[in-house]
Amino acid sequence: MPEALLEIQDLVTSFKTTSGLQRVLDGINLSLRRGEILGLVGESGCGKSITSLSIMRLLPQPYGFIENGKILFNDKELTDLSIPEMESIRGNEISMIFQEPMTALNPVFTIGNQIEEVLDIHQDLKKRDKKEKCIEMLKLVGLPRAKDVYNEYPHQLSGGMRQRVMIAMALSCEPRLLIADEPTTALDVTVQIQILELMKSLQKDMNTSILLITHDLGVIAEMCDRVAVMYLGKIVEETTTVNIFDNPLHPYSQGLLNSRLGNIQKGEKLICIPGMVPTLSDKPQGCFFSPRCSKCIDRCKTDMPELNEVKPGHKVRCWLYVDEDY
Amino acid sequence: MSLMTVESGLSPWKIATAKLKRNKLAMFGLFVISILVALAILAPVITPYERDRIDMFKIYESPTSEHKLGMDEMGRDVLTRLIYGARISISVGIVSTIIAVVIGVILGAVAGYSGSIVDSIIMRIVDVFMCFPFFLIAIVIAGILGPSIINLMLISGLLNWPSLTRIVRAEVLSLKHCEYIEAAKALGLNARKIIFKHIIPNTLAPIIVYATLGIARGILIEAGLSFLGLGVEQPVPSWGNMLSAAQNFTTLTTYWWVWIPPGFMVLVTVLSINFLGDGLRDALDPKIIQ
Repeated sequence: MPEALLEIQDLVTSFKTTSGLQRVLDGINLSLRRGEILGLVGESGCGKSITSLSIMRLLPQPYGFIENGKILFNDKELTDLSIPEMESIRGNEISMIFQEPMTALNPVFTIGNQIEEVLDIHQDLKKRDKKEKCIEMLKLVGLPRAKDVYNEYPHQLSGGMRQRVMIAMALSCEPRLLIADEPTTALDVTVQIQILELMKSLQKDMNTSILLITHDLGVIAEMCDRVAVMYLGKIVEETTTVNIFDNPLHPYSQGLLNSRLGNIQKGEKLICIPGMVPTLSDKPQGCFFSPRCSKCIDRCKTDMPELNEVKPGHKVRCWLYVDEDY
Repeated sequence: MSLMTVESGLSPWKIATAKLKRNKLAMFGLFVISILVALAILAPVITPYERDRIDMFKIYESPTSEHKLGMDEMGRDVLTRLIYGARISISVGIVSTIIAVVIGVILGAVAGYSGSIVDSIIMRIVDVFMCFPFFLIAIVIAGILGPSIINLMLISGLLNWPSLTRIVRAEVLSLKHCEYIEAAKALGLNARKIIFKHIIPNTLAPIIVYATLGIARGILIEAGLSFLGLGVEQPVPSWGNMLSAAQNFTTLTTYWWVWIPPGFMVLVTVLSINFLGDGLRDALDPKIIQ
């Protein structure tokens, strides 16, 4: 088994709000191996994006901060690093792709200018080499008119092209870890597939690990080796992609899978998980999912279960699988 | 809409230039300003007489073919001094604006970007500066420092930055939550690079407009202070101290050629700059489509 590139241990991230401290991430444990694609799924507001921002140490200031826990990246403790040390890691060893390609590029500079900027900070290249590398990256992400695009402004490109530029930018320093925060949500379905395939092939070529944040299970099936399911700041299930689709254990994961459109016929009612994600200030007693859970037992309402490894490589946070060989 | 489709392939600056060229008043302003700047630079070449040459026999001589704008109270050629005066007035306007823009933009960007305590401190300083009645404090400082061109530039520059700081800060506040700023952070840029390379270039439009109008303001301040004898000192001519001849009642009523030309120059220059400034604002604001 290849060693872990990223190891998150008991990460607690909190936000200062007018009604006191709110734990957005509540003891996250996650590990990502070299060359692996790990999916992070969950409903809106469950803490997926905050997990990625915690890793990057880019939590919204001055409200968000890491209260507890460790983030080991390549045996370095990220939470201890100074700001300049962290800046030299961002974009260089850990890169990030954002959800909205339409607004993630600076409107007043050309594409070439913006990619070269990243190279400027992290690599020591001569001016001509920089331009060459830049055009090479644009070709690599499948932009047909790479030389023209180099001199073009963001508003001249379509959403899909801009996302390709973002990927080129993120990968220009060959990072070891790429965090993709819903990279295809804002794109057309046809473009989505192209971008995902591009990311997958580049990931193989560069042996980059990817932390893929999404709420689209189709994307997970397409891309990921392993999946972690999050609910209200906690990981409720973590296993391989095959397992999550064939044998989901946690009732929340089962609910998510059942809510897919493919499962129903025309005219039937859509299946959904009853209830709403509770707000952070109003977390339920016991297991956070218990009020919405169809298999809720008495114990769920009083105690929060641990994330237990019920089978090798299959962890789940649920009382149904404790003290019992199912 | 046709405007957008035609120009969509151009850079933002080219679109702005195209828009500006269509604005007749702004182009007229630009034309007049260009002529004035050329006159100021070429003053020694084009002026018919030496700047300070005195002809005792021609004191207060009215305009003739020899002296097109007549002679002043010391027998100096008004036209020559008027052209040399453009040098002083325009350079005071430009230098004081540069001082105001450098201070204003840096403080505004830092205040807006860093937020919290730094922001509060800078904005309170701005509030204090904005409480001063401008002309009064300018007169007091000019009185203490003594009249000179350098002091005039400093006074005008150092009193003019607060409003620009407010403009820039407001722009930065709205920009700093843009995704491309987040993206820049995620790519490892430090705060200084983000402010100078990503935020300030995006606030250039209002800065340029402010700076243009600031030059007009600088010229007016020069005229005002010199008129009161607190600015440029004789024998160096500026439009302001040439105007001060009008303080004398006899001059005001009888020798109109001594004070009308500099007054007219101030008027035309400030008006032209304001036309250009308004045109620039329209051209640089993408929300305005003519």
